Amino acid sequence: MKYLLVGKNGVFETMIVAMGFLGLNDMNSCKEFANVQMENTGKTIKIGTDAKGNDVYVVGNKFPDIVEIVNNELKALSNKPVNSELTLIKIATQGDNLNSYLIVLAKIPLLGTLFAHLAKYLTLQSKAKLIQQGQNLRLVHQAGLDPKVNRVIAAKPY
Amino acid sequence: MGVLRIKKVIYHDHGGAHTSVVASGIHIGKLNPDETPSKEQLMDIPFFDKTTKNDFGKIKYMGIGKDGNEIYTLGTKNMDMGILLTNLVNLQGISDQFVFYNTMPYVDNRLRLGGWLSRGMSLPAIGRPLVLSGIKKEYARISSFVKSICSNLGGSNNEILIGR
Repeated sequence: MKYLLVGKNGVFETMIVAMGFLGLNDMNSCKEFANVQMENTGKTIKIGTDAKGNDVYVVGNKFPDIVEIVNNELKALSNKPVNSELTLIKIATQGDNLNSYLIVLAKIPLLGTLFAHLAKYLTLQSKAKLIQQGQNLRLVHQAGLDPKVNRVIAAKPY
Repeated sequence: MGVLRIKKVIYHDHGGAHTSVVASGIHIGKLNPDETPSKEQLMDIPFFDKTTKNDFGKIKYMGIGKDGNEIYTLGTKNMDMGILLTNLVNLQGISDQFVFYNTMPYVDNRLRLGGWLSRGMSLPAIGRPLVLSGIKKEYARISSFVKSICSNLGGSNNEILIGR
């Protein structure tokens, strides 16, 4: 099984959420973190492998919803069984829109590095929250729960 | 004699309504590659200047090419999603079934503005003439792009494996 985490900014917030998903906390484990040149290139980056042997990847795209639709369409079109080996998880985080703009500005020659540093700083400021978000995601997926499905919670027994 | 597997050929661009549809139309033989089409011929192609915002990400079947491959179009809302599409099929282990071609290099400013007015702003009365003129201007380039794809996909093999 492979997990692909898709967020607006693949090498910023999404990468930290993926670290939380894998139970990592050390920023050195992600060499591509805050590498603006890698952002929105469409390249998937492998973050690691979880205890069950599942590979975890991240990718950034301005429209994660569309990536999900395309992925489902490709699955449906392929001649493989529906339960494919790839699970796509959309990541939405607080402040990802602001960071998207900063990353665009970060590509301006000379001045861009200022915006890149600001985007990195803002992401690291919310590192604890993002790691927690990743850990919560892992729990949901380990339990085999689909967060989109509404469930009726059983009443507490007497 | 080699074996040629049938592929799903996906032409993609920003909106999935113009250059990708024209490229598909040429590939399936609905448009003559050597002759610039008329307005009526272009409007006759399915999905040409007819998509909506809900169509982003949806892969649309256009037909079967002369080479036996299945031809589709896709609007990605991105300038170039080719690398991501290739990575998605690689991760799913289905890369042998798909090939992706980006038709965005054939979108000039006239086509971009016309497409935005016609599809994005729902003003086809203003946008469509620009789109048609842009497509006619770029038609020869799109046509030669599709010809090169057809010759690459066809190769020298002459046996088609229908069972995939």
